Amino acid sequence: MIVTFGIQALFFIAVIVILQRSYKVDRNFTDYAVGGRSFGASYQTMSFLNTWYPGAMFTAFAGLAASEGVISFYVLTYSLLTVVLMYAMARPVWIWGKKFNLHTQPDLFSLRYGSRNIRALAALIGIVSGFPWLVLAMQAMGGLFHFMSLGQLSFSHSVALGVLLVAIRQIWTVRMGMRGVIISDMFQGIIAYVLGTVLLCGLIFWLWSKGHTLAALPTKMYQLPGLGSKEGPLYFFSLLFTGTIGGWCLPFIFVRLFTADGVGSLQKSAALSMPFSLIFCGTLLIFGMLASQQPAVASHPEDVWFIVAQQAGGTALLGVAGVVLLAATIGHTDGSIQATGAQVANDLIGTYRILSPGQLVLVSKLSMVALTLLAAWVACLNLPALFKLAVLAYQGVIQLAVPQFLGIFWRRGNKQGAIVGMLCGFATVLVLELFLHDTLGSLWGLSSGVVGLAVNFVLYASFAYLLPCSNEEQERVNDLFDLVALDSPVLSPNLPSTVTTEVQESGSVSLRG
Amino acid sequence: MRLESPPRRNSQYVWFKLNFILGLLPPVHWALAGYFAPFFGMRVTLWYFLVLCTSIALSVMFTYAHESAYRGQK
Repeated sequence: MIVTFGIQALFFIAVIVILQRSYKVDRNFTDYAVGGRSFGASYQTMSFLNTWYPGAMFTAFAGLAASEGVISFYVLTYSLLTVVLMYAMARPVWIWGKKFNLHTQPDLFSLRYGSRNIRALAALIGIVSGFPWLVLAMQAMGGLFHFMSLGQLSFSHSVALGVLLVAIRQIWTVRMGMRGVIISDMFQGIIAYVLGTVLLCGLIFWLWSKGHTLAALPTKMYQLPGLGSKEGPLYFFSLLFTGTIGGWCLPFIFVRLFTADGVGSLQKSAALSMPFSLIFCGTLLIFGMLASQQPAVASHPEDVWFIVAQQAGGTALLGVAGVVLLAATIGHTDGSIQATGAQVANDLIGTYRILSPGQLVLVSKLSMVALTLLAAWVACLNLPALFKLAVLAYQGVIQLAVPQFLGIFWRRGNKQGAIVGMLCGFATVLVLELFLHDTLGSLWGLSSGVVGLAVNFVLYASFAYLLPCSNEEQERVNDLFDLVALDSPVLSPNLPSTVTTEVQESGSVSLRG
Repeated sequence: MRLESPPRRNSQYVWFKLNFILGLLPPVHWALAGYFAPFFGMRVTLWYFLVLCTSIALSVMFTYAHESAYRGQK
């Protein structure tokens, strides 16, 4: 127990030392919320990975690979397709972010649709939907510490310890904002995905030396849900589709598009994320499939990471496996807390009250403290419906996808369609999940989120054609799109441009630029 | 100083679209659902994911390399 907890403590101290040494006073809200848009491709890459792949990768998804086999590769597929979307969105989102001083995802909605209310609505959906996942991430720390104590700590005590650790870490998130999140993401990302991949390769070799091979796996481990499957013929499509577009609906993922120092850095980070994702996630899923042949894993697939590490390398390797998972979990939670705090200040309160940059930072910090305490308290309660609530929340938050993607790539949509579409899509999800859950089975495996998206899309497109914008509004939208047209200049700190001098530091979005 | 974005080739758009189609289109999943024959020592479904995911990764890496080379030439 001293060895396992000692390794976790060393890692945690290293993170704190890095944060302390890199502390810098934020000059304004742009510094605090998006790190002053100053990060290059390598920081962007690790920051994206550390937020995208949480600790649950080593438990839930490795466990899925161990219990269900090849179907678990959907997580790798949608993770890579998400990065393709990142590459496509990089140019318009970053340029608009720089020119109009956008800090959050709802800021972009507000700019694109020329509406203040849509900013608050998008923020509310993002914050409410993200909360259950934050609580689950804190609770997942309980599983980690239960294993690190070699079973000596009860699960409830382990959860309390994990929550305490996450809460302590947030002191630096609150103090340093996005800069602290990204700098620590670099170190945490190296531990979680570079050291993690090395460890996975070692464990795969160990499993192979024990005679476990992919060829020896039973046929059911290679089964995908087909036309006659009990899950429904569109179940697998639903998983992939909601995963692919859902990632960019999460506020703590989307804000990564604003922290880069240029379009080039953002696109380079997408290119760098690809091999990291492919190798890390692919190795993890193959590890899970191979490990399913270990008798102890078959009964507890979600613990595959800890079980195999301990069997292969004893307590020391268990401690290293714990550090890898801890690094992934902390990176995810601090990103989520930081983005939510910034949204409360900028998009909820800031929409209806004019706040100075200093007040925005203060409100963000207070919101982060409140969110951390609230999530820590809820995490210590034993709420049986929490996971169901989290799934429901994800189906809800993806309703942001229609106004987001169509708003970025299509000039025609308007605020009425965006608001009505989102609300009706969200309501469809709620009704299907809460009152008509049994009918979902007769929808060929489609999830409530996909049905909601269809409703959302039809409404958005209908409003776009049936309720045309005023000439002035269409001209404003055309100006936005012309700004990011392929033959317009790319804004970058390395590329002096007259446009960059127009950036405002008031913290508010100027709809006319 | 003005910097133009490079013209993205049609083949790159086709590659992106093909990846999305092969990844998301349900008939592709249905075709693979009952197919368990080994191919070069591995089951076809696992090959499908490995080839598809490698193709998605390479599409972005090649596009970035092409566009950054264009910027370098300018």
